[in-house]
Amino acid sequence: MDFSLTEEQLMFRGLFRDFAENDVAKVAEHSDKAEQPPVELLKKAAAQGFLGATLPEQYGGAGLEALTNTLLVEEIAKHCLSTAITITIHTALASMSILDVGTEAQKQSYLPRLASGELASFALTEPDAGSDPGSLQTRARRENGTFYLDGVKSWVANGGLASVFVVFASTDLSARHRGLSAFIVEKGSPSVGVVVGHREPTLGLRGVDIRTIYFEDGHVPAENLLGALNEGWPIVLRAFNRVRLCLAAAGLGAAEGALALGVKFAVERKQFGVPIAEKQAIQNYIADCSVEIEALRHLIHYTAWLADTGQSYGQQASMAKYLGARVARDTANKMLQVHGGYGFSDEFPISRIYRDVRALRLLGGTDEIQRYAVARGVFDEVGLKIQP
Amino acid sequence: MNILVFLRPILDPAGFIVNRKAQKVFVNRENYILNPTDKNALEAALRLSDTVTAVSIGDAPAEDALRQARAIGASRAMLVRDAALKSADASVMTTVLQRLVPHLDGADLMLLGAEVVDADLAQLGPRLAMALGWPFIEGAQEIFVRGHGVHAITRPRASVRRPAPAPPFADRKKARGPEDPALAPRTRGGWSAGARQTDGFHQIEADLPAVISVARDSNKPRYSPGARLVNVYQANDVVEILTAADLGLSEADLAPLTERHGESFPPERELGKVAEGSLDEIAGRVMDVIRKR
Amino acid sequence: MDFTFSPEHIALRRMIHEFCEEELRPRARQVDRESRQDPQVLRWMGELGFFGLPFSQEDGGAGAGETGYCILMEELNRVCPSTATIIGAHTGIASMSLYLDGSPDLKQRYLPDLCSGKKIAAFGLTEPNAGSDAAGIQLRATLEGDSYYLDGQKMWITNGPIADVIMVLAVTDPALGARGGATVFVVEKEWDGLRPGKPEHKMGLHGSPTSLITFDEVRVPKENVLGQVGLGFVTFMKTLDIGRVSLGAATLGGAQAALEASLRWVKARSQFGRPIANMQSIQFMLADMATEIEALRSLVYRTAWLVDSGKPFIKEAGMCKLMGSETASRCIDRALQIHGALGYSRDFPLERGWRDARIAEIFEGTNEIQRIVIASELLQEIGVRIRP
Repeated sequence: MDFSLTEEQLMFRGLFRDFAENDVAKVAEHSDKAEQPPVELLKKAAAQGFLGATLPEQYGGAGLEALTNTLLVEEIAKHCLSTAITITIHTALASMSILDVGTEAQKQSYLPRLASGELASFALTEPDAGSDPGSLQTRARRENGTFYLDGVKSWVANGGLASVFVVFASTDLSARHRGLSAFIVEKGSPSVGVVVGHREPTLGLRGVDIRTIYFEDGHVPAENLLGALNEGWPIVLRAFNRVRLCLAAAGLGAAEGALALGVKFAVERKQFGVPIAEKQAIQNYIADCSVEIEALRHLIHYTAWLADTGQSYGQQASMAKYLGARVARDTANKMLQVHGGYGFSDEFPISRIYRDVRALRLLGGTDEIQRYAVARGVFDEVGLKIQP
Repeated sequence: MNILVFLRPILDPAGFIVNRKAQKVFVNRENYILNPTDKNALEAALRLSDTVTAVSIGDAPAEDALRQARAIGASRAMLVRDAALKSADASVMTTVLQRLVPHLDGADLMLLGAEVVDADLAQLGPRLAMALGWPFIEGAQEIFVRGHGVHAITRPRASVRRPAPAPPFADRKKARGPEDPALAPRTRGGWSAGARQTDGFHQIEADLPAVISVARDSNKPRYSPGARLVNVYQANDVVEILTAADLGLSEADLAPLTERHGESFPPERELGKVAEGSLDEIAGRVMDVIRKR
Repeated sequence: MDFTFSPEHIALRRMIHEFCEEELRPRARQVDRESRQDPQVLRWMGELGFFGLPFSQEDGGAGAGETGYCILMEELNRVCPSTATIIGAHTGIASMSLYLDGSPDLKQRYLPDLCSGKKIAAFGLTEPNAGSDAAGIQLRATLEGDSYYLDGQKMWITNGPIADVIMVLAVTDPALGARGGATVFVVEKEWDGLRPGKPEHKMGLHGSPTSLITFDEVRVPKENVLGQVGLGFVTFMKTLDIGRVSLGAATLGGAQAALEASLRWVKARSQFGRPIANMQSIQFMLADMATEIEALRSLVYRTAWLVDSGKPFIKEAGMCKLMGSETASRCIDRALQIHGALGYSRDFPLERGWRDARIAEIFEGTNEIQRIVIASELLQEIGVRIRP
């Protein structure tokens, strides 16, 4: 087994790291304090091809493999989790779904736009359908050449920035998740019946634009049905696998960023006449976090390799996402503790990272859902099908 | 001025669950609280005088209610406790209080809460007033004392009878007072010239002593200051206790008038029907419903 | 062994609980957003005796003892941690140091106003270079004639921006250092040279104002020496020991609030066709929360009993603070997770409790210091002396 990154991957990682250290790092604090998505930064990212990283070159993307893409997410997340999440939702959930099942016309029409700067969003969750997307209530009915969408979507990341939404609605309510269809919805004028609601004020990830979206007879031309009718659920599952791998990488990056801050503080802060790095308690925190980060990194690379070699990787993606959220949380928490009182101050970045990573245990499937998915996979192998 | 306040402990409704299907009320947490409107009555008393005696009938919950009252600021507390009072209804409580009032050193005013959260029949106030021969004012929002009289602003409950409508102009005699006999001057207790209506509130005057029931949420009840509370609850003698015999009452005197036969739930309220159509159609439908009644 | 609270403590809890529900809960959100508690509310609490609750009635307090004070802190922190922190610093440590070691004359001059809340107090120990290493303080107090001149800085002082009176630990004999040569002074805010800094921006406890305080040759008459010259460090350490018990009680309140919120939510929220109370994962989280809270409750109130009975309590006090802060963080985090995305939204109170709780593992002696204190007490019992 060769555990080394290829020359090309190392080269890309260098590119990503430069971008992250020189550009992303500069906007992180401001986008949190002002609660503004870093729009200029996203434009720069688009110019470097980062918004279409995994899209094929024929559609304007960079054609990167899953593993290289995790390096991109990881490097950005070291400095700004909001930016990493914005890009991940845009690519792994939305534009990759169009690549996954879109018609050639849809791909030609949308993918180049999404690779070059326009943002996309993924609307699945509803106020009464969180962990249980099968109970979603947004309906789509067809009349002649148009679908009409009715319902409410909540917690839509990039909702206020996106020009393109991948929306899931029921075309057969009685069939629950087997009656889901996917639609590509463009944000047009209000008469089109798609209303973008207020921003969701959040604990962290304040640089992500999260909205509620209202569909009142929202017009969607029939040719914007994405994939086959009532075949939306498999699209969701594949999207979940992709995004879980990316979220794991985001957790890894955030953890690494936090660890670096903690190490720096421990070396510089002196108490009892010595740097606190000389105290065993602090050393234990650093050690534990380093171990977890190392293990996480390898799980992510293995999962990405499974994806890149066309193998089934959903189980590992859930594991990686679950572990990534926990490692990010533990590292940010311990490194905040290392900072002492300064860890509670807004003047130091560690508390922002602490708030930001809290979201990782909720979005992309809560910890509870990941555990259920992993358990289901294990029992499946011995012939038992479990239910949520 | 000496003011008496009658307090009632009740079971905290937050500890109940009502199961309509089973037609049962389950008590999840048995917790006694002071009837909320009685707190308003106590607050009203404390605003008028420094000598406030809190009074209650019952056992341990009533005694605790009285301790609370002492902690809040009442200068004296009196509990009537007797096995014979276990199933006391309003008539029995009236009998007890009627004996209790002269037992204490002269009261100018007796206040109680206008509503009890549990079986609210609002009888106690009027019964007590009749038994004592004092005037009764119901639902006071504010109380003012002027010399030998009391002046209260009240908001009448929906069930209170309004004065009869004034006769046609030609027949109207010089206004002396309302036509409603319920508000006519009484020979004992000296009511003054009845109700003057102001913006849906009544201003009522009466001679002292009087019984006044205090409206819910008519004031903000004060909290008991920490030190006072600690002292009241550490002391042993803050509540004086009397038995029925101390008041010269026998078991026969305390037989309740009411007998409890059982519980039932009111029928489910039927939501109204939505009338649709043109304005004329809706108006016609409404008229049909009214004609049928 | 009688585990029931005495009648006055039961009645106190009822009164305080009602006050917190009626008066503090409706204001808690605003307190966080505006970063201040209404002075009228503070005055009201003063009139009810909250500010001097544990102190004897002869000294102007309410005579409720450490147990009564723990009840107060538990109930306050359950509803509004910012308000609880204002009182915690004022009563639990600042006024407490005066109560424990002040001369009758000094107590009589300051304690009545502190007990009634007419004057607010702050505890001045921490400095930029002296956090966990409290003995590393450098603020100097130089004796000239009848007065001491205080020069230096205190940092992270809770109530700093609003304090009328500050208990300050200063070095009076540099040759002996803080341990043998420091003295506590009662300093009034109007005195020349005393400059409270701007309120710090913190992740949580927004309504509890904290700041740097600069002492620029502040003249303090020698009548304002608290306790013995040279023994100030002992006074302050003794005060911190007792302060930990009520801080443990406060964290108990925070954990309790988390459990109560979770119970309400699991009944109300349905996914997969039934209330989430039916999910075993959720049930186990609730069971774990309730168990930890019960254990903490016993620890806190038994330690309060040790204090009120005049028995030794240093080790147990450290345990209260250590276990309390970690339990609260865990329970509040579980509650946020149970609420899903709503737990992450600033439109709901979970995230506020989550932000507010974190500092308890750091201030009034970090949990690392608590472990050192506990280990030190344990080892002392077997004849081993340790140094941090």
